[in-house]
Amino acid sequence: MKLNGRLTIEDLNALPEIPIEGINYEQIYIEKEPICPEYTPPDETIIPSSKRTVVIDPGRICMPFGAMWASVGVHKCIPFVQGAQGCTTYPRYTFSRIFREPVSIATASFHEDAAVFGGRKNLIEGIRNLICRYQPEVISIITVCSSEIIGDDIDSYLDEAKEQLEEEFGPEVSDSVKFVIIHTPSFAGSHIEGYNRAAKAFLQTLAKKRSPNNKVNIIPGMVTPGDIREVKHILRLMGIENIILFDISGTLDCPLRLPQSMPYYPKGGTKSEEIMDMANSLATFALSPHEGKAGATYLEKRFKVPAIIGPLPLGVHNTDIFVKRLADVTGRPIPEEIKDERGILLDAMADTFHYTMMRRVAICGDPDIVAAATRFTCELGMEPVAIFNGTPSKDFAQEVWAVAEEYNYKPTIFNGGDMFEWEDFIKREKVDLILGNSKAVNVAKETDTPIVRIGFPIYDRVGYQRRANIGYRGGEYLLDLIVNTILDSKFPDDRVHQ
Amino acid sequence: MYVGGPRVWHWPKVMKELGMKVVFAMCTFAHEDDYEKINARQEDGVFIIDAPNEFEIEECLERFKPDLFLTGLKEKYLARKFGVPTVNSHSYERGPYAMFRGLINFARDIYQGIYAPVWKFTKDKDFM
Repeated sequence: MKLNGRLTIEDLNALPEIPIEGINYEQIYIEKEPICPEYTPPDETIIPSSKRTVVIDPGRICMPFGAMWASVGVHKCIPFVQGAQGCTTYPRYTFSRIFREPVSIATASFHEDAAVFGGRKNLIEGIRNLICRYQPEVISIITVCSSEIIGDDIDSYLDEAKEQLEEEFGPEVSDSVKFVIIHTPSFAGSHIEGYNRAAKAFLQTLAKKRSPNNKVNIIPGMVTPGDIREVKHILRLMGIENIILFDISGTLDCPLRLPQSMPYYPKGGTKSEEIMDMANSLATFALSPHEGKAGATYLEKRFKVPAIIGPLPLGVHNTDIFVKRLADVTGRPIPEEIKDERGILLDAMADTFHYTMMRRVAICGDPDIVAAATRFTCELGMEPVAIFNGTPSKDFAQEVWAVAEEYNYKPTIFNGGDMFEWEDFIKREKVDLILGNSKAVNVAKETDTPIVRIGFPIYDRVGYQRRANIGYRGGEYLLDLIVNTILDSKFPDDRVHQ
Repeated sequence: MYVGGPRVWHWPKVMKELGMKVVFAMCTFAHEDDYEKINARQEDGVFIIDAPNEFEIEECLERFKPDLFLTGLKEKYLARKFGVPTVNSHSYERGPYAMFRGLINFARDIYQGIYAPVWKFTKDKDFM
């Protein structure tokens, strides 16, 4: 049986059988009628998020997610989420969408009874199951809104769980696992703060003073595996030994190689001994100030390891700062290769500034990458006009204002608002380009504005998790994306040839 | 500037109107009548050569250290390696450049060339 053309609902119902090649979307496509033919702007009074009690299109997700992201970057670490199943389902779904990788996260599986009696039983039994089945080296216990409101006493539950483990399996089993407790009440902060707290919790629990190791600590923040590889590349060129805390490049971008052992654990990730050794390093670089600052300052206060906070090394200026500080801390010279990589980025910028200069850009995402991207667009001569950050932060606003002042622009900053007001701004004050994550794609489509995807989350395209935006080579890649996107949308083909 | 003959004798006036000063001018296929006009219209002291090769262009860039080099596609990448901004003067960056409105385009492209933030990064001594 062959089907031709579109089918109405009646046609479909009248089919005697489904054809062997199936029915494609084109054939069952049903024309939607818009409720109103033209765009009707929303009521002026509800546009600023400060005048609403409701959030429309939030630009952030909850704190436990950041703690899970961090934990997944540790070798043979399984996060144990002290909450309902949904608290792990959504993060696992998100990780898999972005990274296209398996992610193991355990849940305490709260139901109604846990809300009444607390999650003691869930934690003790859950940890036992997890250790029996997976033999993890580290378990990070992550709280969520429900367990925090119930007031679960995680420390005493964990003591009890360990006691029972020792009784049942002997001390070698209970001692083989390290536990890290991360308190992430999701009614406060956002995923950014979750990662930040995880950095501190891991270091508080595991870091131990020993003899100096001559290494440099890096806490990259919620960047892609590609970004982390670029940081490693820079460190390798400079000959600097390092410890990267939450190295997702070894756990969330893994090769397919057979045979695979069971249970599945990625080869990479930060080893717990490395985290222990972070107390003995030369310095800690928290590349993303909002994601990792707490960990770096803890090491500084407790073990006198100097903390160097931000900025995210994206763009020329920020990467320059990172490289210079690395040279200062280690006493090593900046190698020729790095100067060449910088020179190649500058050459690419010089080749393309006639395409980028004076373009109006809107940017959205998490605070650190947005602040750094704002600076990078200024370096390309673009004009940032609407800067949106989902997690309110004074440091972010200061950083963006400093950049804007340096380059003499006056962007509108949406610091911790929602994407609804940012979207409305773009609809009224047209922009030439949007830099943002997958959540900005609808805005880009509706306003017919080209978009370059950066930041977290990107789930509607492939490969972005493997690419770096940071470092000189990352800047080169991002520059190419930006320029090609502008050429695709703004230039007649024959002009591009010259 | 290094463009076709007629532009080399048309543009001195434009440059003057924009408050700029020509330091050297070059042509490859200009004829004698072009040079008569160039000599008449360029200011005194402007260094003028005919049919320069690449090395002579480099010598001029190093000797005169211009803030901008008006030239075409092939030579602009050479100038760039010496840190000198260019505007594509054959087919333009975003033209047209003719008439009053075209001059605005020309001025904008010159502005972009000279004030592109990239040039300040090339002067960082730590990365030289």
